[in-house]
Amino acid sequence: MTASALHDARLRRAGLATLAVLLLSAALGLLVNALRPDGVPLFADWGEVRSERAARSTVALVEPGQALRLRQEGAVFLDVRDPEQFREGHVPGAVSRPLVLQGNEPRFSAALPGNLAAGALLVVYCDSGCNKALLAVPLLKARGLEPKVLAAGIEGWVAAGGALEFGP
Amino acid sequence: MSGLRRFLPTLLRLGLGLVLVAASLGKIAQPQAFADILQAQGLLPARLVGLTAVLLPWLELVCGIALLVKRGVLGASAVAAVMLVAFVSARTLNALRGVEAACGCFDLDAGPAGPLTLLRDFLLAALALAVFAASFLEQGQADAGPGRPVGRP
Repeated sequence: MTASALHDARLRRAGLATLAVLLLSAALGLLVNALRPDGVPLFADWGEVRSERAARSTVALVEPGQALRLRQEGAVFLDVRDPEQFREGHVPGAVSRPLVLQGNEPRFSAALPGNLAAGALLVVYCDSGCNKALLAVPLLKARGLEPKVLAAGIEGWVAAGGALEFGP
Repeated sequence: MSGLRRFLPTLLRLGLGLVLVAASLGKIAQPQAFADILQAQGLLPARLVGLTAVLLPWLELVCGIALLVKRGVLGASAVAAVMLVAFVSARTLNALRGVEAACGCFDLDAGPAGPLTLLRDFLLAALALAVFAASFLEQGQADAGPGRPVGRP
């Protein structure tokens, strides 16, 4: 084989290897994207995607007086404060799920109750000065829940005449 | 010295492979965050941002692994060189337009890309071209066999 033919053969091999890299990458990328829950829409207008995401992440606040009524209607109250704060007084029947930061990522310290189904009335709270309830909202929405945040937290609840329960 | 010259192509190939794998992992883990960065850079049509955010990191990962395990090195280094030249062009263009967008290179939470990022990408593009050239010559020597001339007549 001449040097020229060898050179051409090398170029062909380079072309084939490039094609293989491109096809394998595309196949893996598309497959994983299709399987993962946070996969991205491939051909959607990304400006619109961001706007929708921002709209979805809007927090629904509930005033303490309205929260009292929601409790009577069977709403689940999720307390994301530390366990000590929960023991010192919480909304009667509230579920304690302290929110902790792992690096910069917030997460619940334990699994959420199994009876929280999509569409359930859910009110999340901490105390008036904390933002844990706000940080919990995206985590809850990612699980298909539609939480409301108790404005003014546990202090607002007490000020509105809400009862407290003590202990773990 | 001759030992270094002998192993230099391997070192360059492994170095480029590691850089590409490292660059891909954060983007694969957070495709939405990477897509947001691409959108902020403003160089792609909005309808191609999602597809690019899905494919580009996997392209980096496959190229990186191919270089590390020495499979399809010609193709992987060629694709890497094209990608890195595109990154250099994109950053140069955004610097000229005064767009201060994040790099989206390794750490997706990092601040806007600066001159050092541009320099790094330029060096990486040169590295990818060097790896391609070295691999092309190496294959030429293998094709020609021992004692035969190498390259185009």
